Amino acid sequence: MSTALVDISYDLVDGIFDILNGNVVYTGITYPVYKSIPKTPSSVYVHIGDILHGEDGTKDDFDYYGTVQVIVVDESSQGGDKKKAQAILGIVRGLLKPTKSTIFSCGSRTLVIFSLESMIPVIEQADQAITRVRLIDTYNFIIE
Amino acid sequence: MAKLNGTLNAIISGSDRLLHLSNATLNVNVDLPDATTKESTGWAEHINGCRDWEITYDGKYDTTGSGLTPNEILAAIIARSADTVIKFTTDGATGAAGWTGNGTFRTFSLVGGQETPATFSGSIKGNGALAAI
Repeated sequence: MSTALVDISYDLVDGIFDILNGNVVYTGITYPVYKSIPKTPSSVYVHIGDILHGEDGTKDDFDYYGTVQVIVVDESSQGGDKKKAQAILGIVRGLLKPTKSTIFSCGSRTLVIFSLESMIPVIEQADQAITRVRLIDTYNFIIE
Repeated sequence: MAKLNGTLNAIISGSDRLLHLSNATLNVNVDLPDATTKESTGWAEHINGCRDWEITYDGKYDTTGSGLTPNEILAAIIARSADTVIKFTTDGATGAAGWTGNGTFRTFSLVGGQETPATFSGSIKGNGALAAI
């Protein structure tokens, strides 16, 4: 329960990072998870993207609701490997929601709701004529 | 006159504030029995009858906090607890302004929807007069 208005973004990012980091494994390869994208990222990675949130508590305490993006990026081949990106996205989803009622830990915050809202596939032109595949999962959350 | 932020409204039962409320509503009614006669020249007339009042509320279900939690309200109804002094305040939890009277916890609903925070709602029925604090 939050008794003062605070920013919960990084508690949520840290919670997601702790679940995913070191655990996104596909065909024996562990893919990196980034809170912010480094200058020279891996050709395939998971990025914890933008958080949009507002406050919707009660007269006693603050609750924060919003959306967070978890993005699988693949620019491992000239045309991007959408099939691999989708497989990794599936692994990410399974880690974040292994069961319907799973709520992971976010430091001192209590995550009340975490559910998948939508997925948007984006295929775009990256540097050096490489096609980048980005699969953007958007999750709803309520945290207090 | 300054507008009132609804967050500064609270419901107090005895010395305990109802916790985790999102909304609270005080409804006051007066019964108006018909008094129309043949002498009313075609216009309906009434007299002022009995008054009654009720408070309804809703909030987000949470079992923590120092005050009256949703679970304690439910327990009061199950136990058919006696009336308490109810205050519908307009100055936060101090109870120095607003309206007061004896009331009974009458209804309580708890709703758990899929992937939404559980909510509760209920009502307090006034037992006797309502007066300004």
